[in-house]
Amino acid sequence: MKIDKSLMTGSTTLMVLSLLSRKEMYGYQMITELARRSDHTFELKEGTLYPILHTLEADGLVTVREKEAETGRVRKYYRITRKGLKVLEEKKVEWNTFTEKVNAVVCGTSPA
Amino acid sequence: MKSFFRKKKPEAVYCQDWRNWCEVVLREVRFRPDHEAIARELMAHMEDGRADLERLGYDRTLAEQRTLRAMGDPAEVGRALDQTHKPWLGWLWQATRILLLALSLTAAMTLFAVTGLPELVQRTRTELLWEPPASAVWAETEHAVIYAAPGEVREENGHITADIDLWIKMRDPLAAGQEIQLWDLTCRDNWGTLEIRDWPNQPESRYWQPFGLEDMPGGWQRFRQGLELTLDQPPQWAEITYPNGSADWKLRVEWGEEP
Repeated sequence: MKIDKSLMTGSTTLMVLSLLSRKEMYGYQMITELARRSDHTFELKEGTLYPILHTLEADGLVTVREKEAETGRVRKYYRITRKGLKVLEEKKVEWNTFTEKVNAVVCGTSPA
Repeated sequence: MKSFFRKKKPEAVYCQDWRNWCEVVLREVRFRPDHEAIARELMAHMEDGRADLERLGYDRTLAEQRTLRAMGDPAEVGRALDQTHKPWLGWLWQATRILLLALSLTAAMTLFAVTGLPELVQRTRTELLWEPPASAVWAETEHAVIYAAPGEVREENGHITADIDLWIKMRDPLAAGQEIQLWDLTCRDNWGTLEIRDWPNQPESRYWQPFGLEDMPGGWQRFRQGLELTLDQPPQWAEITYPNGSADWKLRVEWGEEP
């Protein structure tokens, strides 16, 4: 099932940071991993990943290094920083609160 | 943008649609110094995508089209990148780097001028050049230590020329008669007695010491000297002898079987 694009806005950063909290990755790798983990539900337009990554870098949440692959292709690998991990934790809490409240409204469940 | 494609290796040929897509992205990014890095990263991404699809059996053209379609709207990507690659921020960063570089250079030059670093550099270089190799043979007298090591052996105008490198350390000051008069040295190789042809210590020689005799701590002076031998055949060894009464010394340097 495809998800409305507007629903993904705002959560992409959380998902990217979450992926990077496990290991350093390059852009294409993140796209495929995101698709795989979400059972191909989250297939964002691939070019839009880079503005997100560059913003994270400018904010000091990730660092970048260039590495040459076996094929000779030079890739940029992104790695989460200590600050990035802290922001990820904050964003997780924020996300859990948000989904809980949305569920409370939509499904009629009572918030904890 | 054009420069990025020009610099790529000839085998990395991108399809025109990819180039066009990237050009639209970059048109939106106002800070031009970042264009090349952005283009390189986006192209690397598309290359990864194409390679993946080709592995799944897609032909190249179709793989390139599918990859491009997955990238999304280039103008939208470019506008989003422009928000991060702000011109004023970029130029501020560039200016800071140039300023830091200029400050570092000024500091280094001031340090050189004030502390006499050029002399220190020269002395360090001399120090390294002076160090005899571990394989050097050596002799010690009451007033001096002499190290010798086999140097280069080469053929010149039908003759063999062999070098012997000497490192000499002497007491400072030396009394009359205690100096080492190098022209008193005699030399003999495994083929018989021979003449020393030259004592290269001119500026063009590798033994040249701009500071001449150098003072060392503890009341010593030192210098380097080369001996150039002219022979008929490559030597296996050579013996240098210094006749000086009770302070005789003899050193034998060896080149081995095949110098």
